[in-house]
Amino acid sequence: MDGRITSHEIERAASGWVARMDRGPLSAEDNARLQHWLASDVRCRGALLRAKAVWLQSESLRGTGQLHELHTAPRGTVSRPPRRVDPRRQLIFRWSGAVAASLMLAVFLFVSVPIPTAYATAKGEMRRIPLSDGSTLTLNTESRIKVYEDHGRVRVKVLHGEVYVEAADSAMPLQVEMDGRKIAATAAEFVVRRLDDQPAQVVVRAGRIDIPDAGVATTLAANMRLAVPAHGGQAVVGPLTDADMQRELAWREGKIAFQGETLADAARSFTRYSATRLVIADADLASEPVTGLFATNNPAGFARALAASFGAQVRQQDGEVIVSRR
Amino acid sequence: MSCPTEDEPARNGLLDDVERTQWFLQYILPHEPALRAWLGWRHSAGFDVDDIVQESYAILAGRERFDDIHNPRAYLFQVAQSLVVRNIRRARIVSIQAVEDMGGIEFADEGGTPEDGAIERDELRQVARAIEAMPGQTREAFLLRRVHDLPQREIAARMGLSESTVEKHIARGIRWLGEWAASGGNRPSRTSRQWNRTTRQGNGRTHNQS
Repeated sequence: MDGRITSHEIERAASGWVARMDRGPLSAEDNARLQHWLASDVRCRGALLRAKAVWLQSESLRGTGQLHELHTAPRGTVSRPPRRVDPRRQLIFRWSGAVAASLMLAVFLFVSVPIPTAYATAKGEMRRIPLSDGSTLTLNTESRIKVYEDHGRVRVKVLHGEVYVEAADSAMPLQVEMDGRKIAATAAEFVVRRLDDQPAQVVVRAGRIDIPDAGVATTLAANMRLAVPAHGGQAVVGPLTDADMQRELAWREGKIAFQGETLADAARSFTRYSATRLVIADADLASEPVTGLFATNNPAGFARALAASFGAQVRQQDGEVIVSRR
Repeated sequence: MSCPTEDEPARNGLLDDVERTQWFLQYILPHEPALRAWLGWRHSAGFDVDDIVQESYAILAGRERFDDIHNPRAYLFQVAQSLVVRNIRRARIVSIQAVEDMGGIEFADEGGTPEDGAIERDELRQVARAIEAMPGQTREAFLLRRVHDLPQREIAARMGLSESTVEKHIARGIRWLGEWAASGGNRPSRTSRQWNRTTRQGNGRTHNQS
């Protein structure tokens, strides 16, 4: 394929991670690296699941009769006697398989009904979800969606958060629902945003999308934004510049972009991504405007940047980062 | 600590519990050789089989639940097929014929259940044979870890190796077993030369080549 990492390298990394986890609990730093790796390519999650399964499979060797075969083999190098076989464990192992198999048969008799699959991201997490019609969703931090897949027709319900949708060029348009409003998209890229303290928004980056019941427009073209106030107000459509668009999508690179927001608002934005609370201690400092691009996972770094440019001081206590005038 | 998954923080996302891995091991992994064979026949469509397999598993890993998958084998093949079709669309170089080629497959469960039974009966023997075939020190470390249930730290002391070397042997062993799972336990799916090459890259040095 293109210049991306090979599946072989991913497989090697996945095995490495399972071995590392077996060695002992991951350090915070390792865990961050693991998360970063998982987010780096959609295949990583699959490879990790597989490596875990392979590892789990070999666990069943412990305390089984199969050991004997290994130990009597001519090339065996381990001289310790095998452990006593635990017959109870063996029995459970055998029975659980039989029960599971018969359950599967029983379930198989029923006609399958489309059941939505729910996806969610935790604070600071980002996730890519390929859909069966070839579309891809990218979930930003603290997002919740449901996906209904039924005979090639895919419907996505955005319950909360921020989702970047890359709708495939397929015969059936991808349907995205938010607050009961329906969006139909084919070969388009757009952001759907439903956050507690903001109007619901749809921002189109490429292609065009149809919103039959939007009230103001039925089609939203690239570089346009639709905002729908929470309490039934008038929907507003407006154009976006390239720079606006880059800010809108900065989160996909793990960045957060500010353009003249107050420090108070900026600090609040960080709480979406991190458990560390950022407190601006002085009211006049809190109303200062801030512009720049910052890493979403590093509120402390943001605070230090503030300190440097506003001559403020930063201290950390009890999971809070406090910025105040000197 | 017998299983690594238990120690992962919950915020790693979904699928971090033994049950889900167990489900995957029981209902999906046994079908991998068949999936690979099926994908292999369609190789001309211009995609990498390993990519499709990994991405299919990623989609499974992303599911919140497995209990709504009534026929795991059929589900796995459907997911893989949708990815292949997507790749074909992306590549835009493949003729219409290749897409049509994807159409008429049945996800036949031919011998699905009996096969499962056979795999279950044979599984331990297979794993035992695969470990037996591992290169020297990797095999010893793997046996001490999996059969004798010694922690990596103790294995390191016993074998006179650093802990990180033991960790690498374990990782290598997992990949080795992964190769066996890919091929259905009959033969290593890659040549030993390839294996050595990738292993060397993985370790970053060339020690312990049995």
